[in-house]
Amino acid sequence: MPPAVTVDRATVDGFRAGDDDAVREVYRAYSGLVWSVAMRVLRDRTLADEATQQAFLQAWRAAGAFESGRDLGPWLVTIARRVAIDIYRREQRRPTSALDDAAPNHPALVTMPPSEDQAWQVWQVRQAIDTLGPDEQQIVRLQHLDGYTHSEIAEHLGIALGTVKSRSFRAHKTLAARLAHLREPMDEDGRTGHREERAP
Amino acid sequence: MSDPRDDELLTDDELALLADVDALLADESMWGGPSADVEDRLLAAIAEERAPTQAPAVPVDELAARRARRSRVWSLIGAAAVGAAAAGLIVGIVAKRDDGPSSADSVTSPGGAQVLTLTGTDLAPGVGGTATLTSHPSGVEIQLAVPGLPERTGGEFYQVWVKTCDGSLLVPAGSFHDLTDAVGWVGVSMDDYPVVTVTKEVATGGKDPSQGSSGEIVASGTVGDCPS
Repeated sequence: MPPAVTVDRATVDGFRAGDDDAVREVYRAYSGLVWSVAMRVLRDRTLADEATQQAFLQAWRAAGAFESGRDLGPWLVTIARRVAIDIYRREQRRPTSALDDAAPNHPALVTMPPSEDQAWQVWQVRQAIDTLGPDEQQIVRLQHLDGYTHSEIAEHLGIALGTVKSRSFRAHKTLAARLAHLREPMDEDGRTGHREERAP
Repeated sequence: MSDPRDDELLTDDELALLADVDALLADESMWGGPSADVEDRLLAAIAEERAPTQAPAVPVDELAARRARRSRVWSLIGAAAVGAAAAGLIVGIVAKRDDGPSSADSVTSPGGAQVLTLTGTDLAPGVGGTATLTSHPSGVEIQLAVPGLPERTGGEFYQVWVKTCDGSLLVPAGSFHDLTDAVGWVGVSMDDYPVVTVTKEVATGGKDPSQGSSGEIVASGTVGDCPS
């Protein structure tokens, strides 16, 4: 299993109590992950921001029922997905306009929001990316998101091709190790790599 | 476009795994984060919910009193269950925050939805979740997110209810196997039925076609103010 984002128990207890410093610490530890789940559903940065804020607010409201000592991650994934779907449904109910006017990635044009298992996978991949060093993240982003070849990356960054290749190898080796659990057999609930971090 | 196959020292399993997640690695959702002001907006929203506000003057009419909504934080101890074949009264502890009309937009959803915290009772300790209430012309949509309750099948199910503060009247809001992600609906006003409960039920068949509440409340929450 990859090293999970963690905050210590005292911080979780502080979050449950509404302590500002603890709320900030939890937010900073998990906001990228929550945002990724929301963005995957909503495909709009402004809506994903709204969902992120609302998810943490709902988590704070319900924190008294959260069992101290457990990992916040699975719980936050559930809340994040739920909040994003609420906003997705709200957007679908907005007054309609000509289809041609809709942006290609408008939530109303998306057929179905991700399932809970898909949201969990988003969380895991984002978490693995976040554990890479900045140089390695940059290489992976340029390769996968921007579609650059190694040669194009070397030229773009002004570094040697060999350096690009070695960083790429290290980054992908690390990602493969941290995401290996995603290929484990599904448990009885149809989830992969989900045994130890179930939602409370 | 380059891909990890350029890295000849990766194993076949590693390459296969990376191929599995390639779509996510290429997705913009993996490579960004919330705007810088979201953190401060969150803290401001929490501070606003925590700030004590003045209680409204209490109208003579009890129902009108419930309709006079303000932001406040309160605790309610004790929940009465009514219905057929009660297995015993269940005591629930409910903490609730009321998103009244004076709340900032960042606290209440733009559509005016209210978010209610549901807390597990002794029958479901440690269980918690939310109910998001959205008013429509045809009724109130209740979106439930209560992870942690075990699935009920084979004639057993969860029933969601809304009821009056004194528990004398209750209206069913839907039956479910699981409440991790569920949507219920009622055709009454939450002003008049502000208590939301979830009970464990067993289909009783032809002998009890009304299928009343078992009284076995597993989770509960309240909208607005119930007189003590």
